[in-house]
Amino acid sequence: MLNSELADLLRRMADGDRTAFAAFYKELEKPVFRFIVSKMNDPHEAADIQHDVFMDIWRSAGRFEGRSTVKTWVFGIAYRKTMDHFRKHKRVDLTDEIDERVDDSPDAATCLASAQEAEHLRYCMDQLKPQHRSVVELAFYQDMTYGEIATVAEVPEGTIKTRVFHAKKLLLHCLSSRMEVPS
Amino acid sequence: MSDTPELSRDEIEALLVFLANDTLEGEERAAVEAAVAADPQLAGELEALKAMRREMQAEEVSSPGEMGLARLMREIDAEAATPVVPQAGLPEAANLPSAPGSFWKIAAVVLFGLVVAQTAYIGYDGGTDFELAGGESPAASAEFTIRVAFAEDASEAEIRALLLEQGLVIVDGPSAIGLYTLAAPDDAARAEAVTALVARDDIVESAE
Repeated sequence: MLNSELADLLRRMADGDRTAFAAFYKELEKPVFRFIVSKMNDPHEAADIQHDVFMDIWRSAGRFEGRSTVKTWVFGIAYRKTMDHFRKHKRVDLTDEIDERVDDSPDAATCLASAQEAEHLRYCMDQLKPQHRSVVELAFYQDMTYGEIATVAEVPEGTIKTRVFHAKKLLLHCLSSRMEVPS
Repeated sequence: MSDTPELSRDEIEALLVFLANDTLEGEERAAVEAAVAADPQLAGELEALKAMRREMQAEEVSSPGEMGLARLMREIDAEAATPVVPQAGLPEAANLPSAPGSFWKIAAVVLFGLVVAQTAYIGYDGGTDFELAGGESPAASAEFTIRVAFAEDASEAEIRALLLEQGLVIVDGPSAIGLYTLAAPDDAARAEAVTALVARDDIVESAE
């Protein structure tokens, strides 16, 4: 669905149109849920957060001003709700300090390219801090630009580049370790 | 690297992710592509990132789907039914909820919906997906619905037990007049459920 069509649904939702809300939900429910659940590792918690996200969208549809795409706006709400959840449950250290023990050898890349193992990938994604995981997910699940991800996370573009840089290194390091590639 | 003096090595490595998802444009794209062409390690990383993206996008996710939408609609209805500010000049009774059900009942039904959604979610084995209105739910169909009014003094536990016993799912409600829409899996189950609901006049005021 085009951004203009989603924006039109939001306008109708602002007028109380529940049919528009159902269509909007149908369009974005799966990607939003995937974004949330990948960080929660608990589908029930993720379902509750998704519920809050879509209730927020329903209540604030009239406040969408078109300064970003609708999708970016929606993922911004989902990002904040998810991070709020982590803060409440003290499950994340909200700094960007990372473990720098990374493996820069090309073997890490070769390893993943030759063995696309979802289980290893999921495990390694789970090892990332939520902020790092989010940028990878938004880039790879949602195919967002770094500018869009910066809007979602409400941080400067440079911060996103930094997070991507670290997330990529940590992922490749983790994957090469998991797959025991001889160096 | 001499072809990309405007970008640092770290920046190129970061932007590699956005070359992998094909969102990088203009001079940045040209600079990163040039760096990849000149550096086998970057080329290897790019292939790895593309593989990672394919793997992630191929991953199936079982989302709340129609159950999630039904839960949202119930909350939206409950909010709409909630009187916000008493209006001067109106009789006190006008400030009460218009639906015959009380607030606890709305909350109970929302809770029930959550239980149903969670049960369905837990039971989901990945072989079937939930569909939105217009598609078919694995548990109930929008074709086989029953409109029900619950008794004023029926408890949430009684309602929940009755609906579970009959295999019914709340798909909408309460309406402005307090009606709930329930869905049964098929026509035979619907007919059987209507009979069973009508027989329980201690819980159900009307069902059709």
